[in-house]
Amino acid sequence: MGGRKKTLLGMAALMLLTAPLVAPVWAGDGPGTVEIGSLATYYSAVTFDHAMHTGVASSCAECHHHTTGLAPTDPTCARCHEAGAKAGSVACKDCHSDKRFSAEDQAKIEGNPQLYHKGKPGLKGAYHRKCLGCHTTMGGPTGCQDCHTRNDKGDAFFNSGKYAPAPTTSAGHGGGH
Amino acid sequence: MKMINRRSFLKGGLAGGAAIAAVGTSKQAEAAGSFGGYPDSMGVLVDLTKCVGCRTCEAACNKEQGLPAPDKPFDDPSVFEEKREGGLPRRTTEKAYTVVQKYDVPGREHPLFRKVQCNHCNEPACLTSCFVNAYKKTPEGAVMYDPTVCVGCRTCMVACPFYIPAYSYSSAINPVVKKCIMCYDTRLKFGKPPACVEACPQEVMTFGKRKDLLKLVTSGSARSPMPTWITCTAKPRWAARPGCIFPTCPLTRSATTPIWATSRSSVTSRSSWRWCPWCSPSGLRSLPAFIC
Repeated sequence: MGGRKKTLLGMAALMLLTAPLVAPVWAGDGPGTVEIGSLATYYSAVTFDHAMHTGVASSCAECHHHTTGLAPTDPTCARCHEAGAKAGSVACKDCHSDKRFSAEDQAKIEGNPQLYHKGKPGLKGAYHRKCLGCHTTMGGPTGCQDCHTRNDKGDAFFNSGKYAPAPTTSAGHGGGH
Repeated sequence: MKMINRRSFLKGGLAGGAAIAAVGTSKQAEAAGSFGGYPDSMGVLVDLTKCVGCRTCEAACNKEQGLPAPDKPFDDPSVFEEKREGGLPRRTTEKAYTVVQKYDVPGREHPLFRKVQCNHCNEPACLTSCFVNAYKKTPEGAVMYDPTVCVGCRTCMVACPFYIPAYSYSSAINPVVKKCIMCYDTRLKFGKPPACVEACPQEVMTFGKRKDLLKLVTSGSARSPMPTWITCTAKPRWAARPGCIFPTCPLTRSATTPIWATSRSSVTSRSSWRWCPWCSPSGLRSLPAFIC
């Protein structure tokens, strides 16, 4: 092989190897599945198919707001936030508190007069609003057990499953049930 | 005894009455509807646009307050179809301090779910009506009830414009009134949010200082800026200010007649009621949040 051909081949190889680094952030980025279970008490953990959702969402910013450096998709958010630097973490739990409304949480909000998003939902609220928001408009699972099955503790909590009350035979009196 | 003639008596009486009127009025006396709440009282902002009717709040309340097992599981949506006399939806009972109602509103794609519980009014009608002072508005915000002094007259049930206090009809010996207490004994006293607030997966309810929640609503950060809702639930009987009347209109007893009284004097005059632009079916884009 001539020297020039070798150089070309070398460059091609280099480009192929570095392609993932320079390819747009969008192309199949992130983990395949994510196990979301930090709040699991009454339900099992959610096995979230991240790879599938990267295919149906129009941009990473659809779910990860603008933490990936892309501009937000919601026009209300775009009024103040634009594309820019990536945030330290894109995980939901690193911005949304799992102890929302606790005394520490309240103090943190109260103690920061510069904070605009005082109504930022906690982790549980963020998960459900984000997921159910899209699922109701775009068609997706909306039942509680469609995403996470209830465990035994959950069955007891909801008086359901094997803890369900025996069905009463009488119709009941008005205003008593 | 010195005889006094009629003329002198009347003159004296008039003079005395005038004197009392001039100096006797207490500075403490205030009109109804003037208490804005304790300064640091907590509150719960409820955004009904987020409610999906999962009833987790009902389950959480049941566990927290040690209520008896329900007649149907908490994940059973058939409870929404249960109707009481007059076709009214389900209400709070001695076994359920909070219930979720479902409304199919014309023009709205999804049904409207509404969580019903004590609104912990600033000037509760129940408290005003109770002649044994069984009710108390605590500085933390909750309206508490003392069953030991209650005589079971149920006047509070008549007084509440939202039909909240329930009665333990099942107890023959010692029936008492039952209602939401904002989890005062187990949580609110320690600064913790009520069980329903913590349990809700959609975060329909926001817990915090009532004055901060008001700012959330009026600044528009919450879903809908609607300060007049707060006015209404804080001052039932619409004593001081015009405002939006709650969807379960206590006067018309119908589930979906949100109305707007344009002025104080027109509250009782039904002909002056108008469809509230925020709730009216044609323009319904969000049901306002309410604060309790």
